[in-house]
Amino acid sequence: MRIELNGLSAGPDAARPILTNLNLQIGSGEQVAIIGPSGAGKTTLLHVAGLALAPVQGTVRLDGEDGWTMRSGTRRQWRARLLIAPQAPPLPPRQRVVTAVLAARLAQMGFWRSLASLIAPRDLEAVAQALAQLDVADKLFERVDRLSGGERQRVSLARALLSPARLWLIDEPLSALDPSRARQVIEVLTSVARARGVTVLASFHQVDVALAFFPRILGVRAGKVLFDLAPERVGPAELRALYGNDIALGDLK
Amino acid sequence: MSRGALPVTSLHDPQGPGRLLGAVLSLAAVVWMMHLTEFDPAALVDPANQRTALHFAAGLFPPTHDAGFLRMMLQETWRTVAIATAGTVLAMLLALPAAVLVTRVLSLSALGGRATRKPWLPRAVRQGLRLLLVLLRSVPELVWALLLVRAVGLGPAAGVLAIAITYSGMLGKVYAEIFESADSAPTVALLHQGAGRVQGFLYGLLPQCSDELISYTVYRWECAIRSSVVLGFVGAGGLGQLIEQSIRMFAGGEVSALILVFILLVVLADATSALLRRAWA
Repeated sequence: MRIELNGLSAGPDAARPILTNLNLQIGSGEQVAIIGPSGAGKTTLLHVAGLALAPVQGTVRLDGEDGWTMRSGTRRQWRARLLIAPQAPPLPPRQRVVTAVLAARLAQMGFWRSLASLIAPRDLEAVAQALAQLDVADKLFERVDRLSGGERQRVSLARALLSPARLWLIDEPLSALDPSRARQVIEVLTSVARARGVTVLASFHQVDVALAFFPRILGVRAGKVLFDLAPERVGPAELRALYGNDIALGDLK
Repeated sequence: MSRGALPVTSLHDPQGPGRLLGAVLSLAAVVWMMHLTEFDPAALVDPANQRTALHFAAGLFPPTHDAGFLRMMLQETWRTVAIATAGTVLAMLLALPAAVLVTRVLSLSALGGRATRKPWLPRAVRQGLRLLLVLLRSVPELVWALLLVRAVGLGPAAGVLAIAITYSGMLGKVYAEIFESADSAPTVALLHQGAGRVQGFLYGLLPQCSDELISYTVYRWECAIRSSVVLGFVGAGGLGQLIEQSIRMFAGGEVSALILVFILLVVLADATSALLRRAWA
C-alpha cells in the first residue's frame, strides 16, 4: 500500500497539533523506520497514516485515495487492509492467545463467523503458524494474563502476521524484548513483509536495530521530519541533531 | 531525621472546617429524614410493643412441614424461580444490545476524532437509549405488575413481564457503566483494523468484563426472586401469593417455612454466582 501525507498537521489535541506541516511519501512495499526522541510525534504519525486519527490539516492518501473524504463505510474497508500494532500490546487479559490473535481477521470474518469463532476457534493452523514464527507456538491456548511481557508483545505482533493487511504500522515493537530476541523478531517481521509485499512503517527507540534492518530511516523531531535517509548516511551528526547532545553515541556502532 | 524546621509552616488542616461542616450537615439530614418517616427508636424498647412482637415471633415456630404444604411450597418455589429466571433473561436480551449501543468506546463514528456528516446523530441515539433505560427502571416492577395484571390477566406472565421491563433498565445502565470502565485499548485496536461494533465488543470488551457481568446479573436474578415474591402479593403467582395467604390466615408456621425457603434461594444464588465466576476466571 502506498502512503502520501501532504501538508499534515495532527495530534490528539486538535488545538495543539504535534505534527506540523509534514510531507511524506512511502511507496508500496517499502520498509521505513521512524526514530526520534520521546514525544517527537512518532506514534501520532503512525496513527494518522493508519486512519486512526484524523489530521487537523492536510491529507492522508492511501493508494491515492483520500482517507478522510471517503464515506465512513469505505474508510472501514480501508482500515481492514491495514494493521496498527500499538506499543502496549492491546490484548484483553482474560482472553486466550488463540482468540486474541484471530481477532486480526475480524474484518474479513464477518459477524456470524466471528461469533462462532469465540466458541470453536477457526484457522487454528494459521494461528499456530504465526505464533511459531515468533517462537510462542506453545502459548496457543494459554490465557493472555499468564504470559510474560515479552511473550505478550510477540503474541500481539503475531496478529500482524495473521492479518491480511497490506500496510503495517508498528509502534516500538521491541520495547519489551531483550536485544537478541528483538533482532530475531524484527528479522521475521521484515522478511515476511518483504515476501508478501507489505508496506511497513515502524517506530523504534533502538537506533541500531532500525539502521540494521531498514533501508530507509526517518528522523522525526518536534513534529517535523528532520532527515529522511538511507541508513548508511545516518551518522553521528544526524543522530546528535535528532536526539540532542546527551546521547551516548558510542553505543550505536 | 532532625526535629528542627517542619516542611510546612502551619499544622492547621486547611480542609478541616469543611469536613466538620459536611459531617454535621449529613447527620442533621439523617435525623430529619428519620423524623419525617416517624422512625422513633424508643418504640423498639417499649415493653408493650416488645410483648406483641415476641408473641408474633413465638407463632413462627415450628415451621410448617407437613407433606401437603411442602409439596405446594416446592411447586410455588419452582414457579418463583421460573418467573425470576424468565424475567431476568428477557431483561438481559434487551439490556445487552442497549448497553452496547450506549457505550462510547464502541463508537465507530467517533474513531479518529473527526466529526462525521451528521455529528448529532450518534449522540442523539445514545441519549435516546439512555432515556429509555431511565424510563424502564424508574417505574417500580410492582406498578408494572399492577398494570400488566389488567392487560394479560392474573398469573406469572404479568410477573415475568414486569421484571423484564424494570430490570432491563437497571441491567442496561450498569452494563454500560461496566463497559465504560474497562480498558478501551483492546477494543479501539480492533476498531482501528476495521472490525465492527459488535465484533469489537465480543473480542475486545467482553473478555475484560465477563466476570463483573456475571456477578451483577446473578445478583439481579437474586433480586428478581425476592421481587417476584412481592409481585405474588398482587396476583402474579409464586411464593408471594402463598405467603400473602399465610399472613392473612395468621399461620405463623407457614410464614417461617416460606422465609426459610427464601434464605435457601438466596444462598443458592450466591453459590451459583461463585461457581460461574470460578468457571470463567
